[in-house]
Amino acid sequence: MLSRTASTLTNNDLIIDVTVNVLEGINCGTVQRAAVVSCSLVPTVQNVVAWRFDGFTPAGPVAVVDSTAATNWTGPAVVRGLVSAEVVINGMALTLSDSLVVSNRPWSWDSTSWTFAQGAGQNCGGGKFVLPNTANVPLGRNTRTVSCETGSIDPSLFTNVTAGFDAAEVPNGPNQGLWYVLDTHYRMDRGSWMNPEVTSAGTPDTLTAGPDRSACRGRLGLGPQDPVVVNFFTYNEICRSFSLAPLHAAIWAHEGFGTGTSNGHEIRRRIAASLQANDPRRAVEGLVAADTTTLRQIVANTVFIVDSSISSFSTDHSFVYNNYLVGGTCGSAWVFHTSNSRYLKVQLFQSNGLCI
Amino acid sequence: METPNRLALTTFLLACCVRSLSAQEATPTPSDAVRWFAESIRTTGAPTGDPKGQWVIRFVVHSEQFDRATVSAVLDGLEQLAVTDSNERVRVAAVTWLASIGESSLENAQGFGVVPRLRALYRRTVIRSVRTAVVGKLGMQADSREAALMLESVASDTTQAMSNEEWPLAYHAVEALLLLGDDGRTTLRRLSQAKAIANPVARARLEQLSRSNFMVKQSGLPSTQ
Repeated sequence: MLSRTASTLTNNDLIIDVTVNVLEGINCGTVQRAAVVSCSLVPTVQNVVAWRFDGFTPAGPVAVVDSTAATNWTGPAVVRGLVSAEVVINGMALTLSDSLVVSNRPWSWDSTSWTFAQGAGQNCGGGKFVLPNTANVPLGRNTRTVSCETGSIDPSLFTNVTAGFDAAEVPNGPNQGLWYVLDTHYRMDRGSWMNPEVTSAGTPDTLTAGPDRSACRGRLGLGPQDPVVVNFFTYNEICRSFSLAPLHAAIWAHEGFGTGTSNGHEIRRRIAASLQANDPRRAVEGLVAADTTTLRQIVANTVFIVDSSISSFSTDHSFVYNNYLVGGTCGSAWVFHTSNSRYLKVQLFQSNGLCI
Repeated sequence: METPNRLALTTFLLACCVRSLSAQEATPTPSDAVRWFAESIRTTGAPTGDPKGQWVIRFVVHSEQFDRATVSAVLDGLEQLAVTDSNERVRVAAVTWLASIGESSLENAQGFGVVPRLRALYRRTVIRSVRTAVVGKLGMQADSREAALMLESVASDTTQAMSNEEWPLAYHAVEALLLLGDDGRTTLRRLSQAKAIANPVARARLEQLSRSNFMVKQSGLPSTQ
């Protein structure tokens, strides 16, 4: 809406002011993104020649021109800008303008968009838990529930960059032809996985070292000539009466919500995801482009950056540690040492020197 | 009196809008564009958060509208930003938009030397988030042959053998190769046959994938076929 006040105007401007007050101009107002806006002219306008919208998208300026003679221009609004109308009044050609203001939809994600289930993670490759190289064998993992792909946000950006959002084209009005994000489906569905080699399902081996066989024979009810076949679990639990329950609990805690000091991967992921800057729904809400290919590229990159931030925060082992502590030091277990061909009781460290 | 002033009003309005548009159309220098890009991310969390910060996006998305030297200078700036900026989000965003120009067409990928840029970037830094972003974006490159070669070197990097990362870079490289179609699968087969992956976590994933002949379902899980 054009408006001028007489008190601040020159004589020349006063005449303009009179003209403007007669015309009233255009009124578009403010609407929430994707809601229908109706930019209207006052009835004194005799003839509309054309409407024009000028605005900016992340990929540059856009202009929409419509040669309709209607006295209003109506359609969903997705991006703010300037609406102009070429009109003829009393034989005079004029251009009237008003700002189209678009507010954001109150989009956000929260804990209802995230799930986590202990034991529901994928087996993305494990390996036998032996020394040396113990630190490189994953005892557990925090994975997507549906795949082994890296990253945090579902659906994965890597296999289908457009699966996380619906794009729509504005059918009419000032933003006709522009593409925007109609809706999103971003989630985080995670699960933890424990390497079966540290459970009762671990691969058994025949023991060869005397002390190992001695430790097991009686407890397993074996005769002196019977081969002693055990796995990591049975050696610890039965041969050495060493409970692995604390280790198993620690692995679940490490992959999940930690032990109360935000020291698990999932709690770290959720802390990161709770930040406004890492909310993918909020991040893409206002993205608009002149074509669907460009919109897809901008949305994909925007969410890639968000995903990287969440993943980087959640996977950093500088903060995920101390889940297996016994008496203030790293907990231990009996682990087969390939160099000595026997089990040794060792404290369990990550290769960064921190407890698991 | 009335007619001239009505004309004056028309002229004023037109002049206003055209001038305003022209001012925003003035192409910034590459260094300004990159600086604004970083500032926008620092202040709003995203390059799209500030109109000036969006210039880099415009250079990348509509590279054909600008002269090649200007776009190359913008990419140089992003490359520099990715290794020198103190803000992790800025660094990752710089990698993301630098790599993005190589995703849309083979001509752009090769013309702007995107994979060589990403390779140089990877070697210039040990910052984990930057390297991870580089590897992830390599899996989306139009120049899949060059990208696969780079990913092969990451996957077989013996210095990564003892990585304690939840998801080692070598693992990321294997996953990225899966996205590169035939070039990626050929590389994965070669890595598997040569037993060239030193990192146990990545090697385990490769072995798992080899059992499905490196075919994965949409979900990313190994195909049962």
